[in-house]
Amino acid sequence: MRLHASDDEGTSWFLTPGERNLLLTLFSRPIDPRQPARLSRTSEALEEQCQSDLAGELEKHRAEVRSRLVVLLGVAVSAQTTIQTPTGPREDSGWILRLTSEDRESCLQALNELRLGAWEQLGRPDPPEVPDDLAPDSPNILHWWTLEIASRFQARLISEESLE
Amino acid sequence: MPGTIELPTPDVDVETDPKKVREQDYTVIVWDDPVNLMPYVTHVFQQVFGWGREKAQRHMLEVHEQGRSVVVRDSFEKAEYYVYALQKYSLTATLEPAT
Repeated sequence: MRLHASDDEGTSWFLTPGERNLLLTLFSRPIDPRQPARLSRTSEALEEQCQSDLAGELEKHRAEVRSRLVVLLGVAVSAQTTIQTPTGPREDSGWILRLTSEDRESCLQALNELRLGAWEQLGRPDPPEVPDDLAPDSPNILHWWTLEIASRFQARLISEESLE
Repeated sequence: MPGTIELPTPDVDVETDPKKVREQDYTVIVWDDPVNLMPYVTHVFQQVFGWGREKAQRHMLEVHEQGRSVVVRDSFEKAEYYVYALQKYSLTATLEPAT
C-alpha cells in the first residue's frame, strides 16, 4: 500500500492484489467482541446514565465504517504503476483505492478496532508482541496475524501523511 | 411573598442530578494502554482536536509516561462529544467531573 496521489479532496492509494484481498478479508470478518468502553472511571452516575447509549453508538459506528470500506475496496480501479526497485523500475499491477479525508480516518479507526479486538482475544498481552515460542498450530495465530497486519496498514496510512 | 410556597432544596448527590451533571465542568482524560501505537495516538489528537503535531505529541507522551493526560476541560456536552470521538478511534478515553 503506497500513496499514489493526493489532492484537496483526499488521497489515492496503490494496493497490490494481495493487499486489496487482505483488507477485504479483514473488513469482511465479523467484529470481535470487545469489552465495552467505559465512559467514566470515577462517576458511577455517569456510567449508568450514558454507558449503554455510548456502547450502542460505537457498535453501530464500527459496523457502518467496515461496510463503507468494503464498498470502497469493491469499487477500487485496477491500475498499473511503475515502482523503483534496487534492480531498476518494475511494472506492478494492482488497484487504486480512493479515500476522502473522512474515509481515511474511517480506515484508521477500522484497522485499530481490528487490532484491539485481536489484542483482547489474546488476553490483553503487555507488551503486545508475538511470543517467540508461538506454535504454528496455536489457536492464537489468527489474532496475532490480525494484530500485525492491521498495524502495518495503519502505520502506512499514517506515515504517508508527511508526503502529502 | 404571600401565597408562595418555598420548595425545599433537594438533598441530592451532585452527580445523580441530571441537571447538575450538565452544569458542571468535565474533563476528558486519555489513559495509557499497551496496545495503541504512539504515532497513531498523536494522529488521533491532531484529527480530533485540530492540534499541531508538537502539542499532540506532548499529550501523547504524557499519556505514555504518566499514564494519563487531561486533554479537554469543558461542558458536559462538549466533553461527551470528545470522548465519543476518541472512542471511535478506540482510544481509552473517559469523562470525569472536574475537581
